Amino acid sequence: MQKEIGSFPLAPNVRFKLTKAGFTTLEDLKGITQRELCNEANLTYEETGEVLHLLFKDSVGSAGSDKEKHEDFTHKFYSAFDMSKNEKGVAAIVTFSQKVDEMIGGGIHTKKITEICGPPGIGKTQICLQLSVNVQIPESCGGVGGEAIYIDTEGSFIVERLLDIASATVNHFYSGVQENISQEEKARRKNLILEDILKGIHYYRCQDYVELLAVVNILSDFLEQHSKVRLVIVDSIAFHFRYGFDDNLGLRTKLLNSIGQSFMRLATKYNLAVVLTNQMTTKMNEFRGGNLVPSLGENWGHVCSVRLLLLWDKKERHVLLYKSSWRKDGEVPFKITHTGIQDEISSQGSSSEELDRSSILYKDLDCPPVKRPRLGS
Amino acid sequence: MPYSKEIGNLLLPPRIVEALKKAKLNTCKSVLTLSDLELSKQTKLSQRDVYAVKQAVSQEVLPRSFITAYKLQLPECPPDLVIRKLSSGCPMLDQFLRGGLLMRGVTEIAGESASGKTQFCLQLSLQAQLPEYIGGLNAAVAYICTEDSFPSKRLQQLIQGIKKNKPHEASKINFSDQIYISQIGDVESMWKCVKVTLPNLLRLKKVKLIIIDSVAALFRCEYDLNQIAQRAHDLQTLGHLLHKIALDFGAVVICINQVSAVVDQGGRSNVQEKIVPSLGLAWSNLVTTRVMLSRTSYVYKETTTQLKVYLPVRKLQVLYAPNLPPNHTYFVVTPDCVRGISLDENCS
Repeated sequence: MQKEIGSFPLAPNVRFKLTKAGFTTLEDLKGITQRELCNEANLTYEETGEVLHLLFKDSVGSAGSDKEKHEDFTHKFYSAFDMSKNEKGVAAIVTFSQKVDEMIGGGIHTKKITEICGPPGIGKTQICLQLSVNVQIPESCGGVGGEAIYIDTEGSFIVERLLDIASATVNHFYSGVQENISQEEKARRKNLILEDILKGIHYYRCQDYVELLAVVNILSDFLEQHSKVRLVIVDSIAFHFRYGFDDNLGLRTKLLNSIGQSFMRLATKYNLAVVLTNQMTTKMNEFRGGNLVPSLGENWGHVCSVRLLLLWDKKERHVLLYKSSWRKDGEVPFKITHTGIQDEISSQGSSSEELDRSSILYKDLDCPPVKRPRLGS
Repeated sequence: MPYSKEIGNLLLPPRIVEALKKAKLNTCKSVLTLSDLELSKQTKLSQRDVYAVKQAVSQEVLPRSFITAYKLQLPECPPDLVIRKLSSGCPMLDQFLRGGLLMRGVTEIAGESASGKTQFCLQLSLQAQLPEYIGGLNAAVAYICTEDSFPSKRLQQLIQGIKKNKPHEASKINFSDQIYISQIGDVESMWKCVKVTLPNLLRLKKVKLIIIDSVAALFRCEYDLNQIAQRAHDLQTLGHLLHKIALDFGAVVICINQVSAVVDQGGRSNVQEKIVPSLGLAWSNLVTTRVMLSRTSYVYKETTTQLKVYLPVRKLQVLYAPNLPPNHTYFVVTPDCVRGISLDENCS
């Protein structure tokens, strides 16, 4: 209760008036009514309301909603024990590649910002599409049962590709269902599920960085109305920030940091997984050679709690876990097929177990890779 | 632009609007680029007011709210979010490309010399003028040449071809009248074209296809080795300007690119191909769909009524695309058109 008035985010003129009237610590203001404060400090009624609300929010809040008490970590200290209890609420969204899931601890975690970076054409957008479908796998099937927000800055969100991935996923989960219904009925039900999946993806096409900032600002309102959302994707965060900031890199850093902070806040409050994709850039080293590194600079690296790097190794796509506070680094192959993300099983030392799994998982998916005719001569 | 909108029109209490005006924050953009703390300092508003300001301004800036993917595929989808496609002019190639080239972002067609890049683009520029129900865009074409002069003779030949193949749809269209050609010799005039001339043309005429033949020619010769960073920066600017044009005017943007041989650096790069599209990573980050054309050693035997013609078989390879798997198909360039073939028929 000895907390100084100055440590609260009050408007400067209000703070000045309070100090002038002799209110310096929280203790001084305890028990005072709004009207009294009005007279004493020469403030308007509105302003005093705000002051009291701000200063005594915590004590009022504890009587208020239980939800806030449990989920809002932004204003209070919690013991590590409490945190670990709360961490059980963290869910993971599977990628459909078992190896990748194992490496990153069961999938993309909620309450974390995950960055996926890689060269063009490696499959960043494909992973995002897969995740936006997978987040909707119902809890009864071991999923999260949520919805997704997809913020598209590059214009690479193509519904027909989403439909490919979504219908393959529906087929996969529906194949196990044994029901005495006709083929037509089955198809009709699958269609309904597919519709639901599409309805659970909230899309926004961002034309420039100002729009991106605005979208991030209205996210909390949207999340209040759509409590099922568990995943927010920005594909890609780099696109609008790599152009037009030549003479103002400071502004770029500031805006990126504020976006990062907003996402972190939202992720904790609403139990969201935030997935941001990033481009690669060449960083010159002293030998006049170049290294491929994620773009947006050093500072941006601190914003993300998990960084996944996608890269080519000969003809295989690989995922490299580049930064994570609780998993050890690793690298595993994956592949992208017509139906979405899968384990790369053809490569070195694939065990029969894995083969079995994939044949069970994807047995009903109707798209074997198309072989083009080849001429011998 | 919505960002220059006056703060005064927002639904905010007058005292807040006053405070914003006093701090000379007159546009939505100026408010959004400030952090909460800065805003509070500059306007002397409390945190709650700042929050209200940010919400109101954000609402004002956004033309619409989120839309579900379900609505995107229904007819009532907002027109600027509909994904339209430009047919390639050949049913077989269209099938391979899932209907044609995307009206999204920048499409790159790369290939070595004489691999059929220009032929393919000439065909597209005719196809774009056809009505929508057969895969066209019912619109004119802007063709920017940087390498060579525009191949008018070949265009006339292709026009004869398309009139022969699609007499019903093509007969009424004056094809060559609807292709606006600009010849550009240096990077400087390229900027002028992309920043001023092209947007003006698109505002005045119904142009829905833009072809740049080629981006590589300009950017590969005008920069020294020690200007690599500058080149990357300029290419990024060009890419973003083209993206913006595609978005603002709803146009298909096609850039022709050359290829370069890869020097194996021993590292773990994408060394599966010996030849890759040139201009480097800065440019490829901005390419939405990348297609590569090349010549093969096969020969296609075409039998027309009078005589037998032998045509070299070419390969069309999708390197990456948001909606297509990496795959390839084959095509030939005939006097009349560019069309897909399957390799087994009449090849040797």
